[in-house]
Amino acid sequence: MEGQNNGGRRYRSQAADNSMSDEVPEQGGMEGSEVEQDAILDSEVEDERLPSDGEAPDEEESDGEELLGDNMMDDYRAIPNLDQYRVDPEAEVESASLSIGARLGAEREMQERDRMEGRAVRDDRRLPAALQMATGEDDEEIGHQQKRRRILAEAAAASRAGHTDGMSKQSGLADDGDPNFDIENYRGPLREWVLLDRPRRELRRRFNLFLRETKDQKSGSPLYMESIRAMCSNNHQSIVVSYRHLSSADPVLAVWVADAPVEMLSIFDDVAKQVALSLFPSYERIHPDIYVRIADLPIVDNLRDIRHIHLNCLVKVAGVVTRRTGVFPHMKIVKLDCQRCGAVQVPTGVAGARPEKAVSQCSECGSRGPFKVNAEQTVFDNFQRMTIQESPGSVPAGRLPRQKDVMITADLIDCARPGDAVEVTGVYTHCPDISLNIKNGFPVFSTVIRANYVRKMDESDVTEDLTDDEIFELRKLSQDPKIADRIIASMAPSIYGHKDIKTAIALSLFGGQAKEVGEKHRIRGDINVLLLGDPGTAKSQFLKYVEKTANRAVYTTGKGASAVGLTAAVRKDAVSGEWVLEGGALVLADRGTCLIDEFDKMNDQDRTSIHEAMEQQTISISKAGIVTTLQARCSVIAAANPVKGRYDSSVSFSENVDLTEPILSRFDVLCVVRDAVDPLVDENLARFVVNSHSSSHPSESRTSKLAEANEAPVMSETNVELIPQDLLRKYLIFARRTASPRFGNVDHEKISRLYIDLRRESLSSGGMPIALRHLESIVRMSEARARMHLRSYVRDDDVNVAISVMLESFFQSQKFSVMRGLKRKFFKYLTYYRNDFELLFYLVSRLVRDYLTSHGTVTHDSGEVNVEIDLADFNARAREMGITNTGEFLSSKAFKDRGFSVNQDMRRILKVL
Amino acid sequence: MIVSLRNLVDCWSEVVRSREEASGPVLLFVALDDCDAIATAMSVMALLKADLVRYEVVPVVDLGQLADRFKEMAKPAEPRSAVFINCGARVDLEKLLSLETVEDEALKVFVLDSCRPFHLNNIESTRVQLFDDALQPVDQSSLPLCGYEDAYGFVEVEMEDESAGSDVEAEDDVVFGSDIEYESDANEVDGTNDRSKKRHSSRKKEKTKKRARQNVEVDSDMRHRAYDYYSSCHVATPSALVCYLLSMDLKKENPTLLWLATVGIADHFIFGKSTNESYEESASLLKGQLERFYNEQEAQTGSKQYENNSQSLSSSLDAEEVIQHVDEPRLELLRHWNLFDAVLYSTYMCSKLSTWRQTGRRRVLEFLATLGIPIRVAQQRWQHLSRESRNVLEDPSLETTLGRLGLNDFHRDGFVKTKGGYKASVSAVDVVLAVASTLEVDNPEGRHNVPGENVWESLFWKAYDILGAGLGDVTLERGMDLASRMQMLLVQVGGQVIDQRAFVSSGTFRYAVLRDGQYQEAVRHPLVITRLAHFLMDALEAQGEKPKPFVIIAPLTEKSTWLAVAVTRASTYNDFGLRFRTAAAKNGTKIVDHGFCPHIVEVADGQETEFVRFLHDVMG
Repeated sequence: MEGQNNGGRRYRSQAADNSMSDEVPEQGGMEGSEVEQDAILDSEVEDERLPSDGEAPDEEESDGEELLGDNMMDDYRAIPNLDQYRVDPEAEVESASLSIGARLGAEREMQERDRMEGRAVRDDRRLPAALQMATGEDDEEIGHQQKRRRILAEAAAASRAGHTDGMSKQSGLADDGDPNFDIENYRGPLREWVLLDRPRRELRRRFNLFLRETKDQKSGSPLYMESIRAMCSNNHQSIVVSYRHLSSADPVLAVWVADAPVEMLSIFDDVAKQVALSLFPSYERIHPDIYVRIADLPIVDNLRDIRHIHLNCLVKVAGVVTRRTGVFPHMKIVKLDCQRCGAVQVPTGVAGARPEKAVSQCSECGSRGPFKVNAEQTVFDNFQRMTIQESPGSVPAGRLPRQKDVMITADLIDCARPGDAVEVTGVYTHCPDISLNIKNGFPVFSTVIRANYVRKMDESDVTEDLTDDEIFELRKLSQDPKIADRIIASMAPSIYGHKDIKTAIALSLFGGQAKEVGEKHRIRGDINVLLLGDPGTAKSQFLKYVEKTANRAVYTTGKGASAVGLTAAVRKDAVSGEWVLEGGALVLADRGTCLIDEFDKMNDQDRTSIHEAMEQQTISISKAGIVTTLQARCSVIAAANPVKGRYDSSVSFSENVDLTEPILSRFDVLCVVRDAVDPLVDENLARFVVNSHSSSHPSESRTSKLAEANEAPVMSETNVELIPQDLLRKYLIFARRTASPRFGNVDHEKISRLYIDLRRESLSSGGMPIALRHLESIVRMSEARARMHLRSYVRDDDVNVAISVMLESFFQSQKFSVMRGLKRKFFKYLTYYRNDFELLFYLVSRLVRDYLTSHGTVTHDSGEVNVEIDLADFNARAREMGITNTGEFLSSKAFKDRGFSVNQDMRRILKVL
Repeated sequence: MIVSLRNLVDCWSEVVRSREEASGPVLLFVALDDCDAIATAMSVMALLKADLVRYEVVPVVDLGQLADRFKEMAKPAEPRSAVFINCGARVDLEKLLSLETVEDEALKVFVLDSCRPFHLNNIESTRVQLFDDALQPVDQSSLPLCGYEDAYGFVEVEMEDESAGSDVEAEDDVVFGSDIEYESDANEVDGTNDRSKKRHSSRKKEKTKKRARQNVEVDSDMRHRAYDYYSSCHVATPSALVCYLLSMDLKKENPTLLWLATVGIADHFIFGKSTNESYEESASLLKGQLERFYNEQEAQTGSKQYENNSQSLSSSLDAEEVIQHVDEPRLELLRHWNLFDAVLYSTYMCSKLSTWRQTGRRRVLEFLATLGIPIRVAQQRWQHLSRESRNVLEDPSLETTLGRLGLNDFHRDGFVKTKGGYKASVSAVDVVLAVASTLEVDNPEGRHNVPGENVWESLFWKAYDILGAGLGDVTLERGMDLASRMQMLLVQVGGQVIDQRAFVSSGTFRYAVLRDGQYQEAVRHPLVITRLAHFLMDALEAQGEKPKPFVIIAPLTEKSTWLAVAVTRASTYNDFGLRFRTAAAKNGTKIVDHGFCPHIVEVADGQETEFVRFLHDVMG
């Protein structure tokens, strides 16, 4: 806010209009629009009235360029009788006596009032000229000169208006000797004015003040000093300055940087460097140049709307990067050797296409050449050219998108990839293009945007750096003994049920521990999951959820992906004509997750191409003379439909699935999702879906989100406290980074026994074939579960969970008739995992189903169906499963929540359907 | 007897003189406790070699082993003399080694130990010669009366106030009367804290010395004087430096010995045994010596080549290797790491900036930006760093800029051995760290599992190799690797302890119990724990806490006991040795010395919390 005090002075307008100066101290920066109008008029009038040596005002009007005459400097000659200004002593004293605190308070108040009175007006007024003019073709008829004059006057008025309140203090702050110097009082092109020494010094001073004094709104810490500090400590080269801050602190700087960006930015860079050096005196050794990047420019131009009016102005355009060249050295300062005497010549500017012609005469020997570029002493910079295209959504219907080249230098290089949506702030410049000239027959220029700041639109990546506080939070979270259950319940909380899929996905996201056996033999740690099931069972939703949640995920669909698209392709680069290697989805998902939807729709050939990637986790290529191996350490989560669209549990697994055994065995978990009719589940599901539809309307969701934050933690349908998704993501990143569980002190015997049993059964029953890979899967999954707890070792309960997931996936792949027998057989392995309640729920829902079909039901008039289950029967079956005490279950809240009730007198369990 | 610096030469001639009855080797008993001992052993060995005297090295780890080995070796080897390096000065050697029973009456024991105070019996004994760093012989009359302590220098004092004291004394008299029958056991070495026996033996001493004990007051006063004497526990000049002074007197000094002396002082500096002032004093002394060497060399030959002077020993220093005195930044292992890690894991920086936290890490980055060294460059190995960047660190004008970051006295005196050209250089501090971590960690069998002497011997020779290794030697590199691992661990565990407030601040000291599982396996060794405690002390002080002694109690899994290590600032007396014993005597905890430092003890498993509680009472 301090910066505001340093704006323009009003001496000039005082001299011109005394009556106005009286009201200035009171009114400060918020004169109404009429007053502002006055100011504009004033300055316009003044411009004419002010003495200009020998130059008639009308001349100036017609051609501003003539200011560049020999007697140009006369304009700034001191003219005693005119340079004297009357100062209102009262106003002077009054505003000077205000304490800083009081002034700040007043300013804040005024700003507040401004906002009330209509911020739009003010904002508009503050906009730099070029941005305002960007309305389109209709004001084409206004002459360029006139327009510019109006713009500048407006700009001057705007900044004056913002600064009147603090002006009397200016004289104290100004470090150049002349307190009457008015930076806004200029004629002729702004660019030349800015280049002059005096205004330059003033601008430097102002920007310096801006950098040092701008405070963060919330914390009150010096905003830009902090960012410079951060820049230096991270060895970066640029600081981002918000245009909004700039325009509120010092409108002159803001307006001028938009109108004369090249000159102003070089001043800014210089000042920023000075400030950085004052903090870190040796920073020059790290980066010789510091750049100021202007962000938050208020108006975004369409690429198709950029006209000549924008030339040499700061513009902001949005688009998609379509192409990006390599990085080339770009001459900053060229040095030439005189071929005759060997002296090194330094021409003032880099001359376009032929740098060696930049000097016409050698300063030493006077020869006229030839000159040669001195390769050692010439200073180079990096340079890259990027093409951006209007994003398809913003193109008017029926038009083709336009594109524009963007020049990128210094640390902006490689800031965006082809395909990224970006916002480029930069200087719209032109350069002569001979080919265009020839084509058109008259001089036409090609245009390019020199990028000053490039912002990627979708910067949704969670910053991978977790703060100490967050780590503390996550560690605390991991101490919760039920953390694994909570994580599993928090997977895709908007999807009801499917606990097995959620478990599988959670395990896959956390991943096992990759190991190096011996020297060169690597065993993967990633867990591959195949979701196989009936349509409408939210398979794709799960994949989409993972895409959003996983640290690094690539989503493809079976039909949309070819073999090379999944693995890697060698193609000829259109620009350079060389063969280049392009990674496919699996390569891009390295150390992440690759999601493949509609896996069954894929060609067999394409599918076989990922065999290597799924087990060996490499991709080997030998095409077009390129023989290489790429890393593809990703887990694969695929979704597929059964052969006839629906899973038929009366036939065996292999008849249901059109996938070959090699690919099936590579999946650690197979989740068969059957859309079975079950009144109990259906009821709950229906309720859940209807609820979620009614509660998450877009207009409502915002308010409810706010409310949620204050309320108690969200519970899942099984009464497990859900983890907020943001926290979950962080937990995931943290767990993958820090925990590396060791599979050591566990019941090895049980795993091997299970494996033997599974092998035997799979051979006879004809379900999912069990291979040695599944043994490894169990190990991997138990490691993944240990990792959920951030544990460094695997415990027995981890193994139990892994076994149950494996068995679940085995059972589901069985024929219905076989499954029951198998379940009984493997029961001893299963009990470890399920808690009693779930078993009992399973039991009771089975009983409901049985009773519905066989036993008598009571049908009410209203059409409700009552099911009554004999309690003794229930207890007997529970005992069969090894649960003797059902009392707690029957009186539990979860039991009631599901619509059950117990009638102890009749020894019945009641359920209304 | 105490041998002052003036009489070193005479004493040395006694060491090497062959007697009629014994012309065997000189026995060197070397404590495996610290790097200083190894460096001293190496210097002594070099001096013996120059005199063409046979010697035998016996590395020992604790007093029990020392006594056993001594008894074992004393007779068959027919030694000329025995030299104890960094062990034994604070215990009653006559009793411990039962010198009376050794047949060879003339066998003398020479003790080169930086541990103070000397046991009073040792001072009085004629068969024990103590090398001291003082110029003047100690005024015997100023010392308290001998006889109140046990063989380990433990004096029992009643902590009660004056009025209660007389009662206790009266009670004691009764006990004394009943104890008189046990006189026959008088010369049995008694390591336990059995109260009656100890009192008994001390009374006996009194009688033999014919000290009149007329009234209780005087006795109590004497006792307190003795207690005060033994609690003035500190560390004197490093033995390696004393050894170098000896070699100077013998006119046998050479750069190798000088290097070993620098290692000795570096050891004391790193492990907080010497104050900054005394370190600087010794460093300037050695610096003067260094200049003398190289000036002489220039004068003699006029070339860069250093030639051994006429009477010098064969110098193991390569002719190309040059020792330099430098203003070294306080970044451990800088030359064997990259700058970035060295800054991040230096105990000095770490305690000032709390680098284990994110804010601290940011400050490290700012520090590098202040130096003007890009992060990427800083992450290169030091040897590959450009000369400009290296010079930045040595720039004396840096101090003022660093002062802003709160990094005062960033530089300290240091000694560096360099080889010409682009060969590596090694600093004395880094050698100390390498040797220390080799002594502690580089022991696959586990330090306490195999009591066989081979383990100790191989360990000693490993450390010896590192000390004597030329630049670029594999053993040196390996030691440095170990050292850097330990350094990282140290800072991590230290950060963890501070962040989780895993320490307790109680009255006059702080303590932390590093329970099993929470902290890494490796922090189980006295040297590492000592450094950890110093680091914690520094870090807490930098955070504005009051400076207090620090006690760390960590499990010693191999022995299933707990290791208690106490450290104090080098400027104050570390009297925790006595306090530990007092506390143990009070509640009957079994404690055993670990190594030769009194303030490092082993506490029996299960009693560690009790022990700490009683320590509180003692401190009160």
